[in-house]
Amino acid sequence: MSPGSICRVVGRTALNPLLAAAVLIGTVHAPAAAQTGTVTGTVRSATNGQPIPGAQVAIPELNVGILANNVGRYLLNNVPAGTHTVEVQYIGYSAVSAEVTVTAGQAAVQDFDLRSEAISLEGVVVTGTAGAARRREIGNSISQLNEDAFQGAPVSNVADILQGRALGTQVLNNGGQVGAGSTIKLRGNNSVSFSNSPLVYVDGVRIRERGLVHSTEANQQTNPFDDINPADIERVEVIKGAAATTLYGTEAAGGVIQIFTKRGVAGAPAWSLTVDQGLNTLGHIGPAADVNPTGLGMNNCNFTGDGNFAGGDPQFPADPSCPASGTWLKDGYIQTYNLSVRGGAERMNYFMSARWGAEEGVFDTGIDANGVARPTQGQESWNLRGNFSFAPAEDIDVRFNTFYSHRDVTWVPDGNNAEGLLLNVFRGGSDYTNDEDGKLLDMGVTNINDHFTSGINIIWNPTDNMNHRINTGIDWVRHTYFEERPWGYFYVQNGDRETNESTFRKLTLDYAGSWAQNLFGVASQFSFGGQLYNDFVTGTLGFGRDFAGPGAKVLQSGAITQASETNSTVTSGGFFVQEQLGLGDRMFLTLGVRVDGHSAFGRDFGLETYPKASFSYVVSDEDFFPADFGTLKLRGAFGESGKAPGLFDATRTWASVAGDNGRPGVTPDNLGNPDLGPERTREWEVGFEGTTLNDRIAFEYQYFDQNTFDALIRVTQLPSGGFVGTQLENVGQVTNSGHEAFINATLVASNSIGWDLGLRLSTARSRVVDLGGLESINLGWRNYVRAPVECTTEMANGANFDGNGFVGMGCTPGETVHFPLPAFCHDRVQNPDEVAAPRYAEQCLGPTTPTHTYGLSTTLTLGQRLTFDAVGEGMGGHWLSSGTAYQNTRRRVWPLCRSTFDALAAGQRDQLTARERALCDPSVVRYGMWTQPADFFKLRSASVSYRVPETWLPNTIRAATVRLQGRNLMTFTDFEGVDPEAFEDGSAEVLFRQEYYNLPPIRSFLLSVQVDF
Amino acid sequence: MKTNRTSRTRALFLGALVAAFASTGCDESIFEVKNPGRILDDDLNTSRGVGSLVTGMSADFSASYDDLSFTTARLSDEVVGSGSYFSTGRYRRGLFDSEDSNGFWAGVQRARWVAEAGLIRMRDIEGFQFDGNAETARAYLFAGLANRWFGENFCQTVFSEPYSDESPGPGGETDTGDAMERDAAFRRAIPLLEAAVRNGNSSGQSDVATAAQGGLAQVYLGLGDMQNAVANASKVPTDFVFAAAYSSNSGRETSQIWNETHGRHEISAWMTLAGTVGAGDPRTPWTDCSDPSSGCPSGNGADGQTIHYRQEKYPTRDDDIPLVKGTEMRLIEAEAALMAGDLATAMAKVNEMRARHGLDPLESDGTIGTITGGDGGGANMTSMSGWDILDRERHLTLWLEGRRLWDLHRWNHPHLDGGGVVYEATVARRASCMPIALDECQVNEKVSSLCFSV
Repeated sequence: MSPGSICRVVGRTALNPLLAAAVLIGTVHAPAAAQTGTVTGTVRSATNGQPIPGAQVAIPELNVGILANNVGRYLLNNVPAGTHTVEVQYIGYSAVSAEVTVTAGQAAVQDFDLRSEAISLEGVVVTGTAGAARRREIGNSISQLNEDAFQGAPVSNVADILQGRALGTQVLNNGGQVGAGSTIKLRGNNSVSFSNSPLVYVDGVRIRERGLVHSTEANQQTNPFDDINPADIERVEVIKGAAATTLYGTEAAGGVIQIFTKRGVAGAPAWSLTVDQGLNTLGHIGPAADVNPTGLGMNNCNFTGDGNFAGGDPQFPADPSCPASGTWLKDGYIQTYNLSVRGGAERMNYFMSARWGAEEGVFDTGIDANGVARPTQGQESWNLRGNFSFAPAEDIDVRFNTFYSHRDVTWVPDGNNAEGLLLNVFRGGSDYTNDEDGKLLDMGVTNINDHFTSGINIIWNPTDNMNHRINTGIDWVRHTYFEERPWGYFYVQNGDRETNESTFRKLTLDYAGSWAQNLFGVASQFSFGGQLYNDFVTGTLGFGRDFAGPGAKVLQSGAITQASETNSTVTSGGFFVQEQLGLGDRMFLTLGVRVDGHSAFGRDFGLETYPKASFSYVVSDEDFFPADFGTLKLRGAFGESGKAPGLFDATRTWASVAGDNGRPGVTPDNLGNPDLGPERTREWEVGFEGTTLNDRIAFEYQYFDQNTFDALIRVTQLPSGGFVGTQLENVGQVTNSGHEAFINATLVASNSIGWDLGLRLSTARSRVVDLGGLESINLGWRNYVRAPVECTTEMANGANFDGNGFVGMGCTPGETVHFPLPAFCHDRVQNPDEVAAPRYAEQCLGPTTPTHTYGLSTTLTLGQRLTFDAVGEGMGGHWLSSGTAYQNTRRRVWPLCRSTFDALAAGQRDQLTARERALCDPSVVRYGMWTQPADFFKLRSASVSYRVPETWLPNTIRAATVRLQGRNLMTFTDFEGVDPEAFEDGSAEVLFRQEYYNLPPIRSFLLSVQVDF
Repeated sequence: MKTNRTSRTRALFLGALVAAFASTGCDESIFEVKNPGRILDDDLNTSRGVGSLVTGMSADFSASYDDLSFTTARLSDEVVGSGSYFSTGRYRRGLFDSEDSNGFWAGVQRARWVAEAGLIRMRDIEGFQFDGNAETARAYLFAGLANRWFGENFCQTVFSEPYSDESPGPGGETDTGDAMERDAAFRRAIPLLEAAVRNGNSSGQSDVATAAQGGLAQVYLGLGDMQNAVANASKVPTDFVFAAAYSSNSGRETSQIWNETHGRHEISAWMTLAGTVGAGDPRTPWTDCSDPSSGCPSGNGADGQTIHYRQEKYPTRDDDIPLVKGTEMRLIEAEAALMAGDLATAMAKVNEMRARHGLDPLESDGTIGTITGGDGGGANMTSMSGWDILDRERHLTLWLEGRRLWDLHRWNHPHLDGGGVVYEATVARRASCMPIALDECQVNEKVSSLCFSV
């Protein structure tokens, strides 16, 4: 078997492992000579010692091979006596080989340890390609995270897998309440009016990618993304821009994340049980410079001293509703139990798993007025998965994947909310509760998620050069949200209740086919296909208020009830054709086009067409290339994709309202635009990737440039014309560009020590080019989308600015100054050093979204048993408003302003500088003064794993691993608010950001034991 | 057998493939949007829908008028901002620029346009008897009162469609999109309100006709035409009230003023004229929440520092905001009398109004005087001159009804010169009207240079 043929086996088995297994398992009989022996052993990960089921083991010179079974074991029968080279390959790992001497009638034992490989040009990816494709054929960048990369890490959901590991991916932890979703962006922002979140697929089925119902009390929301059991995941592929996502069409400009779950492998049932026990904790809360042990009243609510505040401080007096522990914070208990089994036979195999987990947050919610313990913030969840594969014919592979999860989340009122716990505790006596903040916790805020995803993948290879693939499936999420203020609640004395039940259903039908042939020495692969997505959302919101008395409630317990309903269906679909030409298996040119229709397009718009083109050149395969360098691929890609407008944006409509005490009425809703089409993002990227120093260093770099034109802007209609709403129009333009690079080095690779170090850096700088005549769009909280302006002399000279980061600083009069998408524009003091009252002028300070993300990861393995793993990540270039600092300053309870408060109390206002007053004088403080650069570096995770020697284990146990893990362990920042990642609205699909009294991300510690049997 | 089974499997697979795409790829309706609940524009052109159109006019009026009342109360120091809204920090200092104006400009323009354009639609609806119809009368009333609201609170007016040279409005006006002085809104209101009077009377809707009569008195006052103002005011009984409707039926119908004071604690009467006069005045009732027996959830406002004197003029979500009142008519008559130098008539009208509220009559010091202002929430608390009495009585009578800012402006009130309650104004001259909105300037080239920021 030549290296090329091995590659084809690898590719084929990645696409169709069952088919390969059917061919290979038990069929290694040649040559049928009497003088033969066997070769057997186990294939494991060099990183953590875990077996690698499905690894391809082959002796090329004999043209024989086999797949490792479900516990990583392999057996090659009838191997002629003599010395042979046994090669082992698996996607995502470096190939290894060993010389094995076979003695007739005996078994030669050879184990293999495969090292995870960041880049393998022979690795197969399927996301963004018409079918499966080898990495060497692809012209765009793609991040592929294999199980080995996160298996030992403290991963509680998919976002944790991506964070700090996937190049060009930003995962922001918005808050610390257990169950809250993260914000995920690929290559920053490129859309003004729509979500910049990526599409998400699981085993070929598109799932709801956005958060569910946003709680206006908890100011957080769950994300269906997080329902997926991370222990079920085999790998994740991420493609980031329009150049890569063209084949996904109208809704894919924000990128695509595809999750592949584990599959069965032939063999007896192989069980794996993992038990996690741990705790969530927070420690001191508040700005880093605050040394007061009260932690703004959260760490100590029975505080009676004056701490470190000069002159004493009554701001955080003892709260009579403070929990018995004396603090609003506690260590929350985490427990998770995961059981899985995989196995199968020649033509059918399976993977099944079940998980149950309960995780407490860090709030000590105390007891209510009746002495009953209040519910604890946290979540309880369980998941079930069954993945089954069977081969009804030699050339057909059918996979059935189904998943169900249930999650109960209990929230604490939080964030920008008059009834939020932190808002009232942080404000000391200047709050809504008369400083009895425990009353707030009598409000119940909960939600229940039920999530079901099921799909069928059918792969048919009727001939060696033709294949067809169908993915069809359903993603169904039911989200039920409850919010209740009990009868007698201090803020709404008669109580009220809200119930919001929503169902989100996505249907996927996806076909792709390809036909390969040789055209005059050029390898041709013609691909074609089509997709259809149907998105159905229904929801019922009920509200009841004014209860007659205490007790458990339903909506109709209220004297007054209200209801509303949401019910919509949108369908999108399209088809594509693509031609890939390959020359010498080293140069590849791909051309394609996709044509889309969408429910939300205007009636006069028609269909939309998106082109793509890419090339890749494996220059290291050329004779002139230094043979000892390694591999190097040059690549470039161009493509377009889009974002569709909303449901009725193209149509003039009126909405039903009530007036005159409940009589039916109508009000203008949407003006309508029959020419409305999608906004289009055109992107090109160029880069290279490869390995060197015997594959010990892997590297990747690309530059991308995105241009979103026909951008959908909510253009205000002429208010004096009466139709005062906004109307989406294809009038804007936004650009976004950046660099992405990573290098992964294997510093030490021996039998006793393995040490890998990874560095990654990505930038994304967006700028607004055109707003279709609008000058400015206020997204809220002074987050603006601003049209370009001409640089004035004042801007150039900085006369009106203090030089503290204005976007246009240094501009030349007359040139065009662009603003990022979006930008903080706030009032800032103009005479900071003057001993006088502050003078203010608006300055645009900088972007609200990080412009650069960098990561550092390392893995150290000792004796192939003890593994240390750490991931650090930094983000920066952006600004963040601390609403907490501003509002607390207004109430004279912000610790960083203590000296100014004292000076004011002493009647020394006239001795303060304008800057001191602008920051800390409650009578003149401005929000903009507490809008600051929010650069940070966080130690996202660290873990130590120990694989227990097999000799210590009873025979019934194959392997056991013990892990000690920590998450969100350290933060380094100069930001003076509560946390540079905190966002008051959680994972809400909005562009603006602001920190406003929401619980910052918390710290977790886990002890995990995995037993395989 | 194996070969046959494999062939059948392949055939089955192929069949499924073809069927799946045939069923989805050839039907145009597959891209149809399905979202019940929206009403298409053409569907409103029916006589059965007129009631919903006119109720929609009332609903759009109410939906924005409470916001205007809440905000102008802060801007004119009728109340003190006691909350955490970013805007409160600006308004209580007298700052108000074109961006601040966006929502209020949109609100009044929608209320005006919905009524005016609705009238055009109603006239053309087949089978609908336009003239002499009660719904027609109400539509004219809302159109007129929306223009009164516009003229009283905005520094300038702008009208774009729907009236053109070919299809002029009820008063023969055309809409050009140019900026005009605020009087244009008052003038525009006159024919609309006159039509409301006519149609109200002919359809037996006397309350609509009386409200329109009061509206005419208000707009003539705005134009400085005191003769016509008094003539129309005299037709409105002292106990008459026509109000914007609010209800707990739905969130949109709920009064924002109630929500900002009872639901939240964003404004307080503390240190204002109403707070100084005392809670006992039936026109300005409030509760001292710092009194532990008050039953308030908190003694202070949302800023944690300002004592919460919670207004009780609108103690429930359902309380309507008066738009036309007979008591105001008496004060218009009093003002006309003062302008004519007739102090006795003025005091008689003031006391007629006070009697309606069960208040003792006031006795002037015998001078007409001028409005002097002071530290009683902007009013002179001790002066008993005719104008200072009128200043206080209008303030208290029209409290939280969205009218005080207009009085400050038209009287060039001394409080505008840097006055403040609790917090000092940071500008020499407080904003006394809402400018053209930034949203208008961004899309209307004719006014693009008229917006500003402070």
